[in-house]
Amino acid sequence: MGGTGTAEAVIRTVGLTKHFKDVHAVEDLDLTVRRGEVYSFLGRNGAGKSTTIRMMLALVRPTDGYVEILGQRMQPNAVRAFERIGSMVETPGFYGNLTVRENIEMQRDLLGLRRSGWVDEVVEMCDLVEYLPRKAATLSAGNKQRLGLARALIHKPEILILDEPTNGLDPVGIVQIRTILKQLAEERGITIFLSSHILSEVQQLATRIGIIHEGRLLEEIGLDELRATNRAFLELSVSDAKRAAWVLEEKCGVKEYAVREEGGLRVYDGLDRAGELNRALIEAGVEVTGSHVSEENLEDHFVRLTGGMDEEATPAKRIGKRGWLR
Amino acid sequence: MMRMIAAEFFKLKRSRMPLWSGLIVLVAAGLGLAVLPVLGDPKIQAEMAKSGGVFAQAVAAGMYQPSWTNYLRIGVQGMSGSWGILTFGLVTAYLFGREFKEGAAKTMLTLPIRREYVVVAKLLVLAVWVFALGLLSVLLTSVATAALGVSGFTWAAVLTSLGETMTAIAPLYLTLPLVAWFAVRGRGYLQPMLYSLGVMMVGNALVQTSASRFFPWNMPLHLVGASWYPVSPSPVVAGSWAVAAGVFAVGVAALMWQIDHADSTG
Repeated sequence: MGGTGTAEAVIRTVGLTKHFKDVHAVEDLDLTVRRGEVYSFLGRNGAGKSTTIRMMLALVRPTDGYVEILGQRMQPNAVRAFERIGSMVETPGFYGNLTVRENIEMQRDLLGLRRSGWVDEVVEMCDLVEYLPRKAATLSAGNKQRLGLARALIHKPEILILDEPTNGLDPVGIVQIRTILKQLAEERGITIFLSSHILSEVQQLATRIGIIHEGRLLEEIGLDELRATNRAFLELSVSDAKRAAWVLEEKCGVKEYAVREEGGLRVYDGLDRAGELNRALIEAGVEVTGSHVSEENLEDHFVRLTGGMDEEATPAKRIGKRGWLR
Repeated sequence: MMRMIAAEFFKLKRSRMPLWSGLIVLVAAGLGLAVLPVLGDPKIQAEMAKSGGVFAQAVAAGMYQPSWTNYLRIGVQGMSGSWGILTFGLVTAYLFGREFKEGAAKTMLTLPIRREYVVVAKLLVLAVWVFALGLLSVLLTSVATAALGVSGFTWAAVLTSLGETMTAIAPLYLTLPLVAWFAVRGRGYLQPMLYSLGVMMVGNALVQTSASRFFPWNMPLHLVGASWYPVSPSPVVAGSWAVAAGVFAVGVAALMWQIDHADSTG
């Protein structure tokens, strides 16, 4: 698993822009996904993830720019490209009057595929065997997601484009979908492009991430690269964060720190002086209930990049160079 | 293309809509046949004759006499008048709006199949459906007429009724791509049904004008009459069919454009 910088670009968006009247949903988006990558497209709700995916699948027409998949410009009737793409956009829809088996068979027939072992394998992989005789309308949200995934995989696509594939799933379902996607990427070399806002999921699956915020791509970075650049910090749990911040800045000369929402602090410089910082806080009457060295994760990176919490809501609490962290 | 057509028929498996549309036809035929014996009452006929107008003409022409021809005509008129506009509107809204309503459109539109094929396949299924409803109407009316003990059965009368039914349904079918366009545009059933109701009302308002025969939704009335207005005031001419064909062409073009160009955000 894992693409390299030299692998063929299989998905490319160039200056991709979408305006819905006054709403600028996506703005001048250039992203590249290489063969074999598991590319995770991260963004908050309303950041422009789904609109981008819909433009990739020619469900929404770009206001400007274009999408190229496997060398073909994506537009309605890009039949050749769609033969090699599997997709699932948000909550998948089905023919509720038909059974799971009939929904899958109809898809298979529409794609002109013969009855084959692969279809059975997909059904098994997506854990749908026991649901085959059930009407699709009676499936739980999780099983609907699984059926959506099965339908997307039925023609052995080279590229899988998934919009929030773990939406509405319980923890077990999330793990199952993650396992399937990992298996597809590792064993079959399928390129996966998925949008998500569940960062812990992404961290376990993606080889590369793209972060979109307010319609603009803020960053594209490999997960390995991200890990290498993540900084270590001293996490302090204290009784009075404001006073602690003052002590650290004025008495200990700490310049880079952040006050956390829950009342703790993260100190980014002077990690080798942890004992000294602790002492200074205690002497100043600040109770230190916890102290440990940790490393930034994807969530920290994401929050920092997208501006963290709503700053206007808590202006008085913003302290230090690095601002607020969740 | 054949795969798409087969899939469109397959989607109807276990769907309740074919049953509902059949029930609507049954109710239409039943209502018409229930009223005809009342109109056949000599006292009522005498009143209608005195009132003048088209109903007097209908009485004079013997249209309310209990005969196979008259009973079967009620079936034809029931299917092709306002009842037909709304029933076929409902069927069209279901066929074209269903995927959008149920969230399956994004799957349908990302299949490696040209979107035009989807539209053509649906229009073919729609044709089979509405003409099958016409056939069902003739069958139900025939069975009911026989059950009512009306004498003088002839196969010729049934075949004439079948021919009239299909002829009356044809111009209505030509108007249905516009209903389909509303279903795709509105992503469901509300817009196409409101539109169908609207054209039905416009048709009713136009019925006594000379423009009526050029209004495709009123053409059945000018071809076979309507249940409560059984004498055609003016016959359909070639220009009427030309307008209907134009409405069909505009509807198909709008539908193709919508499915190809409009954003599918639902």
